Amino acid sequence: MQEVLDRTDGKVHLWPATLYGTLKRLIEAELIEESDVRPAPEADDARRRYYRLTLFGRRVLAAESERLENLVRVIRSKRSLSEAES
Amino acid sequence: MNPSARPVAMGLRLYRALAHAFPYEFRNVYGDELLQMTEDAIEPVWRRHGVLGMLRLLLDVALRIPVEYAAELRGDIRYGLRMLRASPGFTAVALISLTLGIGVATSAYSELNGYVLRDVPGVRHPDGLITTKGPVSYPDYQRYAERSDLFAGTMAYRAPVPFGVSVDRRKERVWGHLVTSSYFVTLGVAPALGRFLTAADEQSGNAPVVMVSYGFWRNYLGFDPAAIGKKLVVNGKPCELIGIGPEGFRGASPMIYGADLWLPLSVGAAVAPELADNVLDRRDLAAFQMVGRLRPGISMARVEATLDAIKRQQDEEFQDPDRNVPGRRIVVTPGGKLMPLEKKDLPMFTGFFIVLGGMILLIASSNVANMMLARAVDRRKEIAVRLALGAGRARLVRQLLTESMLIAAGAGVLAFLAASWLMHAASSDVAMSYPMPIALHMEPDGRVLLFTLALTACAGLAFGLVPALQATRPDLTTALKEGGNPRVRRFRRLSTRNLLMVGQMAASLALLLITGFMVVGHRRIANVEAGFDARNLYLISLDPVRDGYSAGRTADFFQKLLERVRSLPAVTSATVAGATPMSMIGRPGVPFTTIGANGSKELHGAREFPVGKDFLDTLGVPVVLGRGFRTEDERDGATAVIVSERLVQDCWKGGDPLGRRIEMGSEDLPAFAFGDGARRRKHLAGRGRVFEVVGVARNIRDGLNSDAKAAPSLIYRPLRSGDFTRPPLEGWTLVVRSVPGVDVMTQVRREIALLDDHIQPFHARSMPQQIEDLMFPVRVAVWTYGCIGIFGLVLASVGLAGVTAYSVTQRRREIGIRMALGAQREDVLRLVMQEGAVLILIGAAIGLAGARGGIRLLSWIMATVAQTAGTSMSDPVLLVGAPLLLALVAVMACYLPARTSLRIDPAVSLRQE
Repeated sequence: MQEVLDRTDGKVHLWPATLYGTLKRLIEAELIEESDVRPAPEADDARRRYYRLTLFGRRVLAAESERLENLVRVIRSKRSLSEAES
Repeated sequence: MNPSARPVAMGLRLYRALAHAFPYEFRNVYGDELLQMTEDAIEPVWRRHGVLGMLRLLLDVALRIPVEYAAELRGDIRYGLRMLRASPGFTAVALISLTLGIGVATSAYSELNGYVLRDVPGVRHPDGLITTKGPVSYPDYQRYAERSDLFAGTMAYRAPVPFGVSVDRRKERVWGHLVTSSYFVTLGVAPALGRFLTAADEQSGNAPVVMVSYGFWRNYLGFDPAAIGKKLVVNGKPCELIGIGPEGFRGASPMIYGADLWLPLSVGAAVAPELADNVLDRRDLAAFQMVGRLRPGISMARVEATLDAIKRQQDEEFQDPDRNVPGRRIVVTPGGKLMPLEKKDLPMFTGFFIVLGGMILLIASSNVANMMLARAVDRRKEIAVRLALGAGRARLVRQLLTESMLIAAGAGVLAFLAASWLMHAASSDVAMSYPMPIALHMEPDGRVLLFTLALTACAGLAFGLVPALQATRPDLTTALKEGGNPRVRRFRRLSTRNLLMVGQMAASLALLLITGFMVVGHRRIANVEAGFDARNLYLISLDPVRDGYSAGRTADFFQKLLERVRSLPAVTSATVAGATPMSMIGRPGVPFTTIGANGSKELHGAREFPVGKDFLDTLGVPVVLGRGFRTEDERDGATAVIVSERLVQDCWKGGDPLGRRIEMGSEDLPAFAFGDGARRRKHLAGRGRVFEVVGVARNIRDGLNSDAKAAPSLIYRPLRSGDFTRPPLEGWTLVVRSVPGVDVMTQVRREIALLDDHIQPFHARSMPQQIEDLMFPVRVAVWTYGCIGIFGLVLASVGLAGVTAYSVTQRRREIGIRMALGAQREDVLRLVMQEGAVLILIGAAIGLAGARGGIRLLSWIMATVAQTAGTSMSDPVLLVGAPLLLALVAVMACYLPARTSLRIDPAVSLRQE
């Protein structure tokens, strides 16, 4: 939670219930799964659960970021075009 | 972690409570982590964002809960649909059963809604209106109307009144009301165009005015926006059109006696023959319906008491011969409903619908419940596994309930569609082709939809909950063991399924018998001999007075017409009559007193047939005693009448009727309210006319009497020219008997047109057709009750078959062992069917008793049930036949699935161990 807040410069606040709702949906969509890999014992908490991307999830992530990149590129080129015109 | 600040501790407590409300699945998997994370985060959030942050945190969890429940429900539904798809046979039968059940109940309810529960359309605040049960006389109405402490407004109208209207040279016969000027104000109706009556229109001598309904404006005036001010020719007199009613408004009594035309009472007898004979001044003629709008806070009981006191006072003042008869003289009923029913009659009226609809639904529900139970036992392994893996019982019950709700919802949708279609087909806005203005609107409305929804939910719960609870009884060890039911019991005596089965058999037998009583009773009604030869008898109605003729001219016209028609070669006999037997419009009763030798008088009732002298000959009704009519009987002042055998029996107990004298009063108005409206009189009111019996005619049938013995008392009275001032509701009927195989009606119409083409004949029909029209509702009733009974039977047998089939699969192992040990096929069959047979017997016994009780109750509640079922109650065919039929079907339903037990191969069934 704190990490999300920090990473997004305090813009995205991921509240607990929303977070777990989202996790549940992602698991049901088979985008993530529970992971056996745990960090070193001193940084670990026995109650914690860890998740990792599935193969499918990785591919969805790649496709989605490509789509967004394309979208951004199209918008940028449009904007530079219209700036050049004006 | 130890939250220092109090708000943090409180917030956390609240958060925990909220988190606990998550669905079990979610809590089970994520609950701990969620709480842990919140415990970690709550303090920093409080420090950084304060109260707002805390609220945001709580809001986050509060919003998430319904979302998670919706997701669960979606999952349940998806799973339920998959389970239902996996057993299409079960799903189809359950769906059909419930659709029938809910459909029948919904149809019954929308019929009830259409008849009884709906408000008069177009009227403002219908709850504030009251009406008197039965008509009142105009002078009495005027006294009642003076009580402005009770009423914010009152009005009176006469209905039904037929009018001959010509619009652009087209002649139409239209039903309307003759109304006081306060009619529209009291009802609270504003015109769509033009204006309605004002007190100024009440002055007689003004040019006559007329108002028409929206439907009339559409059908006959083509929505002409300049129609106001136009002259309509009504009953031959020009009347100025001053207003058009709002859409949907058909007057104060739209179901029986709906109106398309309103004329003020001030038009007088010149326009409306109903106002002849000083109707407005006569106390003895109760010819008007009264409607009042109550002042706020005034109760109906108070109005009734006051009006009753006024009526008593009036009777005393004018020395009414019946002034000492005890009992209420005035009964007040709600005036804003389609049918003027007394409040105390309402539950009785609704009882019949509820009993029949409820029974069918009960059978359907217990049917599905039974199948669900059987299925639940089939699924006990699945359920046991889920229980063993830690699913909560509530969770499983919810899953099973979702399935039953899915079936119920599907059936509810289908049932509502079916009922809508059925009711739409049954609703009618009967126009003039019928002799009476009757409009039935039974299309389901919002109220019916709500009813169906509630019914569906109840049914879903009813047949879903018990099986779900039973199936999830935590009894894991036995269920998980292979082989299912380990104990072999002959009878699971009081198991839910057996109880349901017995109840279902009983209910469906009771239903079958009750509907059977009704069907047989109605068929008897339809089959009674008319008492005269209906073949080759043709009828056509004419109403010259409403086409603008005077009474004298009408008498001349009929004389000439009869001469011309009789001279047609195809016609063997012709006559004119003010009433015909078996007519839809029915004859209202006429009171008369027999005059004894010593001048003693005794009051009786009969139906009066004002007829031409050849009427009995034309119909083929023999005169069994005395003489027929002669020409001199038609002269003014002649006193001869012929009576029916039945009347002789009633009045003189078989003594010689010839030469006896009777005194006849005025004819009553057609019955308006259900139940007996006016109190029974003991004396003839007003002036009577004295007649002498000259002949006795054989009994004929008139109306829907179920019993030949119940032939009505009739008085045939020769028509005289004075009678033509007051044409009956259906006009005058020309009755023609022809030789077979000739289209005599065309010839008759031609003769009418040749004589005067301003006279508009209407409602041409043959006598068999008239009888058929009269019997139509009876036939509909036979079909409806028959269908309901058969639905019940089908449902019950489906249920029985299901249970037997299930019991066979349950006992497969036992049967296998028995066969391996040398049991014969018959032994096995007997074993399997025994249980079903016992259930059938018990159910039949209860059902028989239930049917007797039920029909008694219904007869007590409703006179029509008593009338139709009274003759069939002890019908041996029915009392023996219905249980036999049910037993036969039930045994079949048992046998077919039981046969599969014979195919059990001991080797296979034992190997399953």
